[in-house]
Amino acid sequence: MLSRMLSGAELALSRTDTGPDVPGIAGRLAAKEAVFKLFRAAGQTLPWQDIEILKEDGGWPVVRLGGRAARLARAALVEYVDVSISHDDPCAIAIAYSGPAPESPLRWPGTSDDAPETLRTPVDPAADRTTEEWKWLRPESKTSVPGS
Amino acid sequence: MASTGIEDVRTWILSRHPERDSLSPDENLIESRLVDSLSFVELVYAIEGASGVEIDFDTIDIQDFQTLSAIEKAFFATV
Repeated sequence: MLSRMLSGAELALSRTDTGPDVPGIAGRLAAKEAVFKLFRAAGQTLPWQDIEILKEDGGWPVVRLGGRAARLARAALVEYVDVSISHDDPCAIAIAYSGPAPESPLRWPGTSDDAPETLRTPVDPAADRTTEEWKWLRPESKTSVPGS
Repeated sequence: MASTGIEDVRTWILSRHPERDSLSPDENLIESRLVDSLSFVELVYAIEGASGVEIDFDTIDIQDFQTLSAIEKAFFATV
């Protein structure tokens, strides 16, 4: 059944040397659900494989949208998606965030020449992240990203 | 008379909800939370197993899964 819900790339990330990464899989499924809810898509089934929860080199989760999920995102004016995932084996919880893309001027307000110097300082993109993600940054936290 | 296939689906749903002993044909499976997003995938599997029909997730119409009657009409209707 997982092959209907996870893409090939996700399945590859969801294995460990000793078997399936159950908390990681739970986290991916939770994240897919959380991202889908950003689309406010009534009467639609969850496009499981079109919402991929992959992993950046740094270990944090990254969302890749394709197919029907990408179309739903465009219809909902969702430009950029980020997720935070926490695990407590065998459970996981995920929170999804949508907002301007990192390169969008909306995330870097006050950069026009007319703006006062104090407003030209770019907003730290990390300021938009969720509380859960900051917990992950603390080494004593139990939270983590899939497969970590 | 209901087909055996749809009875298999009814049995599958009830087996996941031991607090229930019946399920009417027109009860909304999603609104009543008998089927949630995760178990929806399993429901599709159960329908595929009972009907022998492969269901494409990309072209699914949620209306076909709202009730047992809708499922029977979409996947078990005899000509």
